[in-house]
Amino acid sequence: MNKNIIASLFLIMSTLLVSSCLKDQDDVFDKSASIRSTEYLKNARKVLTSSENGWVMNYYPDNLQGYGGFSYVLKFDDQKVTAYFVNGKTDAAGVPQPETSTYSMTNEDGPCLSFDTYNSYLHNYATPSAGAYEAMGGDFIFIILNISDDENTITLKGTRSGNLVRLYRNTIAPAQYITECKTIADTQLYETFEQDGLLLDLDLESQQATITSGEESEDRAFIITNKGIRLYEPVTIGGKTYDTFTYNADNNTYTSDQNQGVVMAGRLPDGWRSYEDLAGQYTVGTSTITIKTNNDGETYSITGLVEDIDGTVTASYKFTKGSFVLSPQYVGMYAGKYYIWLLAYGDNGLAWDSSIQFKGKNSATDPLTITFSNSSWSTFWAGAFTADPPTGDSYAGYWQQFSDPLEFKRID
Amino acid sequence: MKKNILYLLPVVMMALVLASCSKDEIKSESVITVDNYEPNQFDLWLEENFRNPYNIDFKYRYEEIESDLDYYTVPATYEASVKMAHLVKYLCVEAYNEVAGIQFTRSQFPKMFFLIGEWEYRNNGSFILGTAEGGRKILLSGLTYLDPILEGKTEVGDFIFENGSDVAENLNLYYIVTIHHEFTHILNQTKDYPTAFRQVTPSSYVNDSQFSEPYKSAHLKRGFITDYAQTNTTEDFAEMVSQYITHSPEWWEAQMKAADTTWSDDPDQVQTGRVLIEQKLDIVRDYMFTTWNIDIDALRDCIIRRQGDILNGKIDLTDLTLKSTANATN
Repeated sequence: MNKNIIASLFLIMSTLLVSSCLKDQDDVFDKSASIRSTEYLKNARKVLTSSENGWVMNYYPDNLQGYGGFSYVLKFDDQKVTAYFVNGKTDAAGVPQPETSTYSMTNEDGPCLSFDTYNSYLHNYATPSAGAYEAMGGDFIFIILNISDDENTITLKGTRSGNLVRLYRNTIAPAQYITECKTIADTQLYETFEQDGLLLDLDLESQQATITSGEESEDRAFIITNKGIRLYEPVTIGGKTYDTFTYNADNNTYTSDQNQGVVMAGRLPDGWRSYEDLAGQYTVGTSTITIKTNNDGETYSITGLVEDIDGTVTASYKFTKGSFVLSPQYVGMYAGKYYIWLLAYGDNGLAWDSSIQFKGKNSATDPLTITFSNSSWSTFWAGAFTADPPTGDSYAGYWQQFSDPLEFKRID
Repeated sequence: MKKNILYLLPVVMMALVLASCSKDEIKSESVITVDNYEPNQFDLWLEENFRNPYNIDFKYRYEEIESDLDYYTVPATYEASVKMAHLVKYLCVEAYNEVAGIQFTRSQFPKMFFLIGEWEYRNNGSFILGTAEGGRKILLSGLTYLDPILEGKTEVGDFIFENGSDVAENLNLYYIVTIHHEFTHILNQTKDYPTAFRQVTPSSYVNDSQFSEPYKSAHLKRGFITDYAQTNTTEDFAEMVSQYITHSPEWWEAQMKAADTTWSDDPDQVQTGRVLIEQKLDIVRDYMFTTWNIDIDALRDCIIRRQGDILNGKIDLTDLTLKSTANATN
């Protein structure tokens, strides 16, 4: 009896198998996935090598685009890529000098373009060191997201940062393109531009733009091109979309390339103060601080900023903003054994790199309120270390947390 | 009988099922594709000097999949990779050919090298020099520093070389010893070393504290040739071999002099470090000779001679001439 059950079970199971051979699955694609991807890469390589003057690369390191974008021109041949870089070497006459290395088209994370041997230009923002183990968060392997139908634009995505990096077919000599970008950067006088209430605020050091129209406001990183600036991604504000702006150095104006008649003129921002006017007494939270000029036209000494620490903090003056710039720095000792530092605080933790700049923005109305901001960091903390200069291991704990964002309010 | 039929029926039906699926055709094109780059002169040279004779994959082009994703790393330069390939060939591969025969190298030597430009930096400022996975793949890092080391520089930026301007010692420390060390692991995995080796300093291994004081600076007195050798017996054995064969007899004797005392922190250690290390060396020498037919003194002399050739500039580290095409044109 039992055996019969087992036998019939076999029978039933074998009928299940029979149905599996119905030949009704048609292939969605006529070729296998790997062959299609190889063909895609082959075509991408053909497009890359097809441009006589190479490709302008708008490169953004850091997953928050906190340094803004950097211009390259890349020329591809079958084996090598020759790179020109806006921060690269120049010859005695100032002509940008290229650097050459190899590349490959790989299939690691989808179709990829990989700069697979070292090039001090292309790997500049990805090179780690003892002090910066994540480097500047730059990429050198890119997923090819899209090649435009006219084959003039290639959209890439960095595999580490996830940032979009775009290649535009270049039509002038590569070195000339780089030189023109530098000229645009060198002729900037203002960081605030306006036309009838439409405001373009730039931070030229960290290459961040804010576009404001009435109550609406949008932030984007930007890159300096050979004509002006291009935003990391287009912004729609007041019903209009903005992407690229052409700079006119004679009139200090930025003209929107997407919206006819939008010409914003450079000026000093609302709430601008002269170097001398900024000195005085301010409140920070519940404490009162005193800011004095150092009579050098550039820097100030702040006392009373960090609670219970008898030390001064140095701030600098930024003319185009008419406000302060504040950076992480050593403040003073506590109990003879703790080194108290002003630190940048944010989602990434704490940092004491003195090149991090928080820029002050002045309120347009009285009393003067100055708000400090940075694209990668939120505010300041004061922290205690058992060694100087600080290390991760010598961090003993925080001393004081400042409000987010940090604000100075003028006492008149 | 009936039952037998009952059992047979499913079997017959299954056979039918198997047969019915034979309509799929095998396509002529392979679905396996290789990475897409045009081979350059170096790629061809590697094919001729590493791949064809030894089946060694010398990966100088960065591949994300070979890199350790715990670290931010960058590729090696083409130029430094060319020089490193010559160094590995001349100081390691051909040294083993000379002493142990090419068949030995072919069957035992690591099958993959992967080069990167920088060190693997940890978030506390420290970093890793080179590593090996399962004795098969060897990671050589810091290729950016190869040229400065070969030029006898003492530092690059903030990075100060541990052995000053001593080219041979810096090459050993940062690149070459790693290769011999990992190769020794492979040999040990293939044929284990004698248990007697484990009995020389059985209770002196300090895994995780080998780079901490008091152990770090007392390693010689404690009977270990390097601080890293204090990790465990396997690392000790690999360090014994790799340090011995890459250094001159004078260097070794200087280490032995420094080791010629007991360690005051451990009253139970009755013998001097020198006696302990030399006991281990005897076992190492015997193992390498009886198991692999390698005379480690001959191997050392060979490697030292080859080091000298490198330092004297007798070997062109950038020559990518292909023998095959040279013959063809003749």
